Amino acid sequence: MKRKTKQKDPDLDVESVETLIWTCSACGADNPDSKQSCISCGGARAGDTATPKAEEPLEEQEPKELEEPEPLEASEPEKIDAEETPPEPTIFSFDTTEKNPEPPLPEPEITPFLPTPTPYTPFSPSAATPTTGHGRYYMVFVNTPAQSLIKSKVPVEFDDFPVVSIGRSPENVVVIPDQEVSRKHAELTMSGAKLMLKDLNSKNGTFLYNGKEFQQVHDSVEVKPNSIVKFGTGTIVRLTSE
Amino acid sequence: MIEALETPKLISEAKEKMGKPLLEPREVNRVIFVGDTHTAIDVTQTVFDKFYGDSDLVVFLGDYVDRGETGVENLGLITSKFLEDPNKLIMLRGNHESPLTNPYYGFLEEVTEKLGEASYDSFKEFFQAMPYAVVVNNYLCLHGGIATTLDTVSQIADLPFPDLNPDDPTAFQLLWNDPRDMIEGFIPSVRGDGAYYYGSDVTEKFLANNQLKGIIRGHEVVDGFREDLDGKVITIFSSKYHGGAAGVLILDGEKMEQIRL
Repeated sequence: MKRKTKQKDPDLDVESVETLIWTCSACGADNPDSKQSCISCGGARAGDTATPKAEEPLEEQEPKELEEPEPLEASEPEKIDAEETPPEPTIFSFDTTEKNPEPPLPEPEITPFLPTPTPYTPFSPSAATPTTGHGRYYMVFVNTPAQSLIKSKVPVEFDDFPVVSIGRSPENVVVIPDQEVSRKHAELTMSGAKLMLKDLNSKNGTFLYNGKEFQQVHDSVEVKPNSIVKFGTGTIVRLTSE
Repeated sequence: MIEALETPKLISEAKEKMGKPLLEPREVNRVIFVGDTHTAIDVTQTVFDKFYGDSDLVVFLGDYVDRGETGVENLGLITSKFLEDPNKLIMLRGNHESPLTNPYYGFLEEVTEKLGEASYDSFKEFFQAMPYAVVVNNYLCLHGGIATTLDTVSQIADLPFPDLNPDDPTAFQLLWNDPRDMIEGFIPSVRGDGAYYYGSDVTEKFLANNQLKGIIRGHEVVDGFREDLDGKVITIFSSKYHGGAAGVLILDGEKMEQIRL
């Protein structure tokens, strides 16, 4: 297989890869590593959601031909930037440190809309059987730029929220701190016994894995437990149910 | 301390002593594993100062350059130690030992500044001579992980070699794939075309088929370590640029110890 030379990712120039930048999960603004609160909205920095601009997941784009280096979400017309975002520092944090002997991170402030994630239990074959029941659903992070979220398991509870919104901004039920995820990216709903995934005209798309490749979701599609879904370019989740 | 100007000679000499994609399996009492250092020469020096002396083997899992300004020196330091005793130190290849990444993550620019652009050719020659994998005490050691096209470890020995980028799909995956124990099979990675996540079932099957205890690898930014599949797959990250801990794994007999620098 011949690999073509890749285009340089405009976000990964030499300067930026050596400068740690953390992204405010309240408003999405990038902040220098030296700041402990967001220069845009004043939100507090949460240690484990601060994403070094240069960390490996960004490098994940390397082998891909970046033919269309598009501007970041921040330049979208649907600007809901710091001015329009609630100023309170609703930074959240997932607890994925169950096996980590490191000292606990500072107590996270949980956004009231964010379901409390539970530690992921390693995959067991019995849980892999597709089901169509009305059990409780979860999203398990397979990949996302914030490494600390990988393996975390987020409940998707339709009793609390008939429409489970997914996106980067804090008003979503499931907040994904990934610049390539739109502020309002997608939503999950129950339609009778069917679990439906709808893309909300997101900038970088929603994709469902069909066993061979990720296929873009146009409008709405049925998903089942164990479906694998990609939001944007860098976040992949697996839906599970109990 | 190694001066940048010394590195080309060191790698030229070491290149002749590396030269195959799969090294002979090793059985030792005490072995040290080091993940991506990415120019962190202080971490490398600490490994040599604190752990090298009383160990039988030190395995570096790749990614010595890019993402910093001392890749030439870091590579030179590890290579000089390799040349002291080639039987005691293994330098595996990472995905950053490649012209696929060096123009974008700093190493090409660093080489050009310190040694002149023409000198980069000698690094390319060295990178393509570096081994992809070795089995140590029944652990498969490599930078990324198993590949969709790989059934046995021995297949690695037959990969096209040298392979500069590498372009061979299997070799590429050895350097680029990532483990994810919440999935089954292989699914395409967000890293891009040709890279995959390898799931629990395919990993278990590969380990069983090859009588392996586990996989020890680098490639992902983690706070020192991450364990997948109940510890059968261990990721080590040993740099400093991410602001987290630099991990050093010690395997002493059956005892495994995770050190965070």
